Amino acid sequence: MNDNDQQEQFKELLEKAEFYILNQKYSEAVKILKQAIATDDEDHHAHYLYGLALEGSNEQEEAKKHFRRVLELDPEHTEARAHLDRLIGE
Amino acid sequence: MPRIFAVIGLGTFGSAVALELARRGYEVFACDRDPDKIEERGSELANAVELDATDEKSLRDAGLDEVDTALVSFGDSIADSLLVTMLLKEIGVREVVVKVTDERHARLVKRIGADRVIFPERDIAIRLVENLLSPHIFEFIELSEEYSVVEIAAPKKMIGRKLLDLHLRKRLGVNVIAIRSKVPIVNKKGLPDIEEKVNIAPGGEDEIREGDTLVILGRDQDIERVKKL
Repeated sequence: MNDNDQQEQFKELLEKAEFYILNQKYSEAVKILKQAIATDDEDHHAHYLYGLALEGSNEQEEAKKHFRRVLELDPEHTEARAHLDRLIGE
Repeated sequence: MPRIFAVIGLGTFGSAVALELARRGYEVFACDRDPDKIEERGSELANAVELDATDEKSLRDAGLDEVDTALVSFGDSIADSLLVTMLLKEIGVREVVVKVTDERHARLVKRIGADRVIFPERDIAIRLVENLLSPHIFEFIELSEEYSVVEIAAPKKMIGRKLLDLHLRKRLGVNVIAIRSKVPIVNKKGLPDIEEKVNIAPGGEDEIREGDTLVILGRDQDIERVKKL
């Protein structure tokens, strides 16, 4: 598989995950995002979606890790900051 | 007439209570004998005054006899906390709430007229232990020795089912008094996000969804059974 195909597949996974999140199927989104992150660990949007899906599944500890990762990759990500602050209890 | 509050002792706890009352629009007299604390909080609290609350005349001069509810929040001195509690009752404060540091302190202030005793460190410790031992228990309030309210992540088995079909009261003896749901939204930037919505006193037709937190009231032994589901 060439780079373009891989990118296309990654994009599709994120779109699918967004669809599941917006339909409140958080555990389905978790499965997809696990796959996406195995392909590319540097994408902040993938980590943000993973954080949301995990938080939605009541996996708070795991969710925190991914919101932290978002902030490493993009320190200005206000949504990830807000979720992390709330999960930590500030 | 709106209630007037006083907070005596502006340590971390007292300040937090005073600020929250002020934020909610109540008049709060905030006092401390330490001028540094008054200076620190002065900008946020309109009625912050330096005052030795162990002196009855100072209390009256500051108008403390006009307040409805006073919180006595001293960190270290049990003797001062007892004396101030007694003076506040004497000058006619209707309700005196005292923050205590241990059981002995609690017993003594109750004896001299405190209307309510709070023990924040112990209460938080109990909640923390409950949460550390059961990570899916988010909140825990003991109502009596036998009954509690807990917030618990909805067990997987319940997802997609209506409350009516779960027969929780009949089968497990507990009542679901609220459901907190994580509802997906698209935010202003077009990003997916989740928002919390609370359904107070849910009905039988309400369905348990992924990510829901159930607020359950019941006997401790029955709540334990729900935790094991």
